[in-house]
Amino acid sequence: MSAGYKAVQWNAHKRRYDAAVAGFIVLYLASFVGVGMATHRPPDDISPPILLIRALATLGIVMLHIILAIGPLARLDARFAPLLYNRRHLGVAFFLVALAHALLATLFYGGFGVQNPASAVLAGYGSFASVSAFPFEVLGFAALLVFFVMAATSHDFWLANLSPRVWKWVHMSVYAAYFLVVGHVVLGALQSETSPLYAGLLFAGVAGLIVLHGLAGLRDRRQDRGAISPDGAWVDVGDVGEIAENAAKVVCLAGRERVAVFRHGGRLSAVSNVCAHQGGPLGEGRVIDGCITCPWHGYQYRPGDGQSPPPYTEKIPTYRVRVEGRRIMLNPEALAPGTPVEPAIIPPAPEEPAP
Amino acid sequence: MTGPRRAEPIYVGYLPTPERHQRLLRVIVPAMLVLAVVSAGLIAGAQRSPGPASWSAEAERFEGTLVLVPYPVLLPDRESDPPMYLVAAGKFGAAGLGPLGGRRVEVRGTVLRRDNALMLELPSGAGPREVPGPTRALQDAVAIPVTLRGEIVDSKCCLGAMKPGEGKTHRACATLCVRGGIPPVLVSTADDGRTLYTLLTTAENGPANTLVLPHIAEPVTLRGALTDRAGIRVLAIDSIE
Repeated sequence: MSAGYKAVQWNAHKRRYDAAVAGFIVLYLASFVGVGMATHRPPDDISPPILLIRALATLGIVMLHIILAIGPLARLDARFAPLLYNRRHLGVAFFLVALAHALLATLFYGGFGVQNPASAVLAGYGSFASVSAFPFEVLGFAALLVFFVMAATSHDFWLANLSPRVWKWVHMSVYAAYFLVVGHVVLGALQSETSPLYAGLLFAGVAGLIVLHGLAGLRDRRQDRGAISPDGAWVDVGDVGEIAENAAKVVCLAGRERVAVFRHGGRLSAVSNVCAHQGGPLGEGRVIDGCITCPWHGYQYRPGDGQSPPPYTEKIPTYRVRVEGRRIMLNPEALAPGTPVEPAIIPPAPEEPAP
Repeated sequence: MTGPRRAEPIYVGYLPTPERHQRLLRVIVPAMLVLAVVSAGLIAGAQRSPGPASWSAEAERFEGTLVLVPYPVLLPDRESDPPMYLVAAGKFGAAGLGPLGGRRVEVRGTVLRRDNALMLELPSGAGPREVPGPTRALQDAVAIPVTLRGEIVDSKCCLGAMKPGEGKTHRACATLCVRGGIPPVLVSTADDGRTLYTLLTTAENGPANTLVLPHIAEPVTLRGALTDRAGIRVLAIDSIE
């Protein structure tokens, strides 16, 4: 959390995660170059620089698909959360791979001639009105710029200084960049390399991501379908027995932000469902060491006032909550972030519902 | 009386990983590493073959007659030996050879070869040197009007400097080479499936570099007069579509 900034706040998980990413990159490149040389022997060999350019290009596309799949996978099945935790490092590694591809391609295709390499690759020929003549390199360059901005602003320093809303908006542009990459491939390499494997893999990748995001979106819509219309000062949002100890029930209020009602130590507290860090779903988190803990990056808030424990400074809105019999009554008006609210005491019950 | 049910533990990066997450990680991490090897191998193995072409690492010495029009070419002494097109290092045509046109010369360079087509890359600062001996004249066969469809590329990459040296991804390189003075060629397919390489000139038998620049690496139809020049197919372009 953000008491101060370090380049990387390392822990054992991040080290293992980065080692796995490095292993993936090395294995992919070694396999591509090795198989490419073994299957294309002289005099039918492919020039080594072109083999490397292609290895980096296809590795980047594979990594981009993995990066974009992790979000919806983690929303559909919480067991994928460890892949989400350090996704930023995966994103920066992907950017470096894409940058290496762009630099090598620019140097070898645009170098050693009468023009400077960048202008030789990006300017001076082609037509945006023609599929066969479309200057596909421009699409790749535009995507690389987006990936650069994302990689450069991936640190929490920028998250705090741009505000989570702007930061999230900037980072959602990855989807625009993704389709620029798809265009770069379709209007470029796929016009030279005619194996159906390439078109098939790309189609499967695009379709797979659309299906995954669609399923995750449906899950969210199902949650919203049961949205409660707050027509009074207090709203009945369910039975105490619905909530497991140290967990929450997510309440959807029509036209308002979702609310997470946590049960902890025989009491109930209600806070915004949106983590102040990256908008993670707090209601899918747990109360750990007395603090509500976000399932995305482990940011913590005290249930009683929605404030991160010192020295951290994040705050989230809180809500008034009370218990009538076994029913949970929520006041739908959000209080200012960090406002203390006395937790509601849960009266003893003869029997809790079975898990 | 029973207490409230317990929730499944969640994953928090700075805490020990819960067992259910560990179980998935034990499967998914090795699976991803296998995916890296297998997917890279499949994608690499499916690449289109660039066809047989080579570029010698060692410089070799040749003698013959230097012809400059429309592009610099060395005619070997034996008529049965194919002529060799001369280019400079990098993406440049051979320049500054004017005074030696029509003379017998000795040249050293590295050989690019595809099928029977040959090219010699002259090292920087070591151009042809005049040597005594007989010279040859370049004889054109009778030209016939033809229509050819294919892709315009630069001859240096096409003959082995870059493999593959054609296609959309190679367009920037081919454009740069042709702009730098390297002779352009048309790659087309004969009725019997053979790949044909046709050197391109203007209708007046001059260098066609400027003429073909906007059409490089695109499907084109060329109309013009086709002739055989010492074993090289040469098309004098009348029109490009």
